[in-house]
Amino acid sequence: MREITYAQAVAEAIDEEMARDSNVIFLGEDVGVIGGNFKATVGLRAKYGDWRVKDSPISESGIAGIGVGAAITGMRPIVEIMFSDFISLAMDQIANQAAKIRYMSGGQVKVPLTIRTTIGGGRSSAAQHSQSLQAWVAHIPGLKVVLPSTAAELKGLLKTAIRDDNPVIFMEHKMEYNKKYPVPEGEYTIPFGKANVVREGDRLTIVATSSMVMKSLEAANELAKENIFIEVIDVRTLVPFDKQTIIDSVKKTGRLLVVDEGHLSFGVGAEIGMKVIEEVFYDLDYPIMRLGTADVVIPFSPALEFPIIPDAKKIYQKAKEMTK
Amino acid sequence: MAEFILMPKLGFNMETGLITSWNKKEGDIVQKGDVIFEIETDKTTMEIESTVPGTLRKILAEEGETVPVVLPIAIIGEVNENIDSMVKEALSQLGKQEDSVSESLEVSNESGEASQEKLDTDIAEAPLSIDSSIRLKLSPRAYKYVQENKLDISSLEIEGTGFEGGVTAKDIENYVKNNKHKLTPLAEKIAAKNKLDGNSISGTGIGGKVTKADVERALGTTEVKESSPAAPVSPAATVSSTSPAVVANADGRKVLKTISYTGMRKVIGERLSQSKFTAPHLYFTTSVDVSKLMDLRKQVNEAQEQKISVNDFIIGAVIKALQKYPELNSSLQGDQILQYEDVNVGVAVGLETGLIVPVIKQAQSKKLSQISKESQVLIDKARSGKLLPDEYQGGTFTISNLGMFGIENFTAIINPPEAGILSISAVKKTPIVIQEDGEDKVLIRPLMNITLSVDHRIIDGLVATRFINEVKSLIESPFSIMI
Repeated sequence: MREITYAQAVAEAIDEEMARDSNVIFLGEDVGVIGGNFKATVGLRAKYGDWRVKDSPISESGIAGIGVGAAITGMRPIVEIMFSDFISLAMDQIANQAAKIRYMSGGQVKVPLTIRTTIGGGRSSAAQHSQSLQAWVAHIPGLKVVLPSTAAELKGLLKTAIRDDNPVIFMEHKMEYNKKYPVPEGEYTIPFGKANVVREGDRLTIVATSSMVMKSLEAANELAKENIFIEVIDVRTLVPFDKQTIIDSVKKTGRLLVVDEGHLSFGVGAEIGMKVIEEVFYDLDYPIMRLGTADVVIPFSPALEFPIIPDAKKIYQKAKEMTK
Repeated sequence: MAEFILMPKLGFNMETGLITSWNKKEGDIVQKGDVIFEIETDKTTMEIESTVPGTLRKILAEEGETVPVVLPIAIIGEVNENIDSMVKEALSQLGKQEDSVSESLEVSNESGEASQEKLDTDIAEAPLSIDSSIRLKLSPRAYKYVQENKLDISSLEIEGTGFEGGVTAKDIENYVKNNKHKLTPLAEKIAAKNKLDGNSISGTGIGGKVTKADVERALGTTEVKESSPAAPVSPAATVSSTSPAVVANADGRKVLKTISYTGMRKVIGERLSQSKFTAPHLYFTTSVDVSKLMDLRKQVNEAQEQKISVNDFIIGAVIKALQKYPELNSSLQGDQILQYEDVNVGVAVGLETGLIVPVIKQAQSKKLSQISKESQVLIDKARSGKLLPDEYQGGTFTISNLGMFGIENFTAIINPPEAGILSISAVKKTPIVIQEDGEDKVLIRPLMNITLSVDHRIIDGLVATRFINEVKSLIESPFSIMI
């Protein structure tokens, strides 16, 4: 299979969808002329022109607001919020408008808006550029939340997001953009609401989001050398959430670890655990555990940033502890 | 809240029901209205529905058993409820040994070791309660494993590798696996004796263990008499250290204790059977207002040394009534009815080992205080096992008083060859309605039920009712007892 970067996968997905549907437009800070801060949208403006690919002012609320407006007037916009940290500036447009307009209009108006944003730390982007705020948006009914893991996953999921008639928050991991991944050629999409068992095992189930999936696989490979076989599940979409795949897995293994890069408290790990506990209670040999970024402001100093974000080593240690 | 399912009384005359089939088994979930068992009465077969929803936790009487009406035959409750006390209570009501219904311990018979297989699979009847699982630090999965496999691990030393040292399902599995011996010791003995290679026999015990039964099957023999001591216990199925090894009966019911049916028990059994099955019993109950009796007794006891009990007064009333209605003071002997001159009143005394009835002879010529004294002496002698034959034979009528145990109603069996027996029940403050000046009024009165059982071959309803009403009116105007 050919290998392309995570960033190229983004561009390909948007390119294919813009070619497929002329209502698809694309808007964000620096997305056009320079091809995006992370070089994820190179070539699109050249191909589709100024009317369909626009560089916006630095105004997240404006970007999101234009997205909502365009969507309800019949376009299929993709907007970019460069860092999920700045989603806070667009929160009213996203949570109070995009998420609710369809319902509040009695279905007269739909919002086929895709909001791409980035999550994750690990490159000293410091406090205001390293957060992973999926928990914020997953909490609001009316929004779909997608966390792709690999480039191949990203491409299929992004195309589904663009085609979805609902507001979708599509959260890409900023550390992945330059990594190369095998990505199939040709047209394919990945449906929402279907988690992916990326590795089978019987001692422990790890449910992970975004790049934590890859880190969990690393840990699982290490443990496999010690004859401990871990099942790793890529959640793919927080909303809609695939409960059954996880339940089936935990019934088999009896132990569950959730790994997400958001802050630990009141986050994705806690929610996923609670979503499944009723159905797996009598199958548990160990309490449901979670790993996340520590509940602190993310530091600039690499020495301080590194220990607080889950990585393959921490996942390995936790898994080892849980499968003693 | 768990509830008893009772043998229903479907007809006025129905005294027992035969359970023909259980439509649900222990552990089944039952909705209100589901048919749970079928019974056969003397007239018909009936499907019986559950009166409550829940899980059928315990079946207390098996198919083929005949159970008296209104006694408990099953318990329906929640899955995790502790029903031990209910089971105990029910079993005692049913007159069963504890655990004779459950599939756990069995009594050793002469062949020695318990069938290991039975031991292993038949374990504590009540599933592990939530408390035990918390004490034992079982993970939910381990708890489920224990439930599903009906294991009793409460006294096992299973090491936990789970969270904070808790026991996981895998731990239990491993324990069971690692502690299996290929052959049980007795099986090994028998195999060796018969020069059979134990390893060649397939095992049906837990974890594939080869049991005595397996060896016997391999040898093609049935009973191998071995007088070995109580079997060592399979760790997965624990038997309390104080109980003996157990075996199953031929009909598959496990026996905890075997007591010889001899001596006093046998005599009582035979006599009462003879009484009940020969004499068609007829019963009459009336309730007696004992307020005046209580007052009189108080006065009498304040006035003299010899304390007279309520029962003494009742004896007094009965004596007088028997004199008025001598038909009740008789006996059917062959083809003659003998009406006796003397009133020899028997007073039933319950002992640990059974029942005995000391007799107050010629009570009709004795004063009440004398009767009181004599009955006390006789009762003491009865309790200490010192009654002479002369003192318990020759009665003409019996009184049985269970009032002190709070019994509100019971129907005693006639003491053969007598014609009747009077059952005295507890005094209870009861609201009654009386008419005063043409108006209904509610009063609270101490009422005591008395039931007369008569042999219908010689006593008809008319004379029986007259007799019992005489007793009643004597007690209600107790001064007449003393004159």
